[in-house]
Amino acid sequence: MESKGITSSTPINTKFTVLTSSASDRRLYGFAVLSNDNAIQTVKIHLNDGTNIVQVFTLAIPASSGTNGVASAVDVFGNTLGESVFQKMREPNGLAYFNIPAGWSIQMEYNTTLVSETITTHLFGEIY
Amino acid sequence: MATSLTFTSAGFMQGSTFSSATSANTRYDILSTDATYTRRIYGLSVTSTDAGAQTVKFHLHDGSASFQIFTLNIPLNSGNSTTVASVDAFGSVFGASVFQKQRDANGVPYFNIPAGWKIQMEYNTALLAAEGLYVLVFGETYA
Repeated sequence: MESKGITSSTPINTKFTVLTSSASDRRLYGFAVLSNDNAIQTVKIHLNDGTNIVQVFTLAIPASSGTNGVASAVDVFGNTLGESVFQKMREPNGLAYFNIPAGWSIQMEYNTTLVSETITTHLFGEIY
Repeated sequence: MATSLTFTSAGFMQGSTFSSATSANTRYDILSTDATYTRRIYGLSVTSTDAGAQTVKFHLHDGSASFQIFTLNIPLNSGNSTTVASVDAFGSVFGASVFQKQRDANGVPYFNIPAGWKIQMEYNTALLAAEGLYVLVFGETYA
């Protein structure tokens, strides 16, 4: 599992790592994003093989997602906008997973300046 | 047909980026040849930052010749907008006659790429400086 808090110190429209590369293959089961920003954020998700960066998809993070008791945290992993990647493999219990080969990482970028707000990411799964 | 079970082990993934530095109507490898191992493909996704739609063609290549599989429209800003999903080329009905014919024990479609084979793609409209096509192919290796 890897979690990250993104604040104003992280520049907008700049790719940053939310799942660091590993020497082992990993199986990703979840990717959640919370935001206490009062405004909507548009985020882009990328896969990085260590050399090349491939954009996967783009989605909106509604204001206060997962932080106000009304708006849920955003299920990035299960989002239909990225299902062509994250929802293509299933284990015997029917749950979707996605293999991250050794050496690959996941990156994200957001598009609107954070002031005193924070975007929080959680990625989790299992290691082969 | 094998007479014993062969299981997949390691996952694999290959990403490709097309830009103004690549050429329209030219076949590019999006899954390079593995000379040793057969691979099981579970997904082929395309994202576009192009301001216009693209028409892409997919080909299988046996090491000597290319064989076209299908042609697909990539809407503008696929996977680059909060309202347009990245394109599930693997699950598209246009390529279902090839990619959707085998299923694993969990009911999930896969397609076997024999050792020595690769997958190629071509797009039909030149990309400008700020535009790109991003392709991911992923699955598991019978290793």
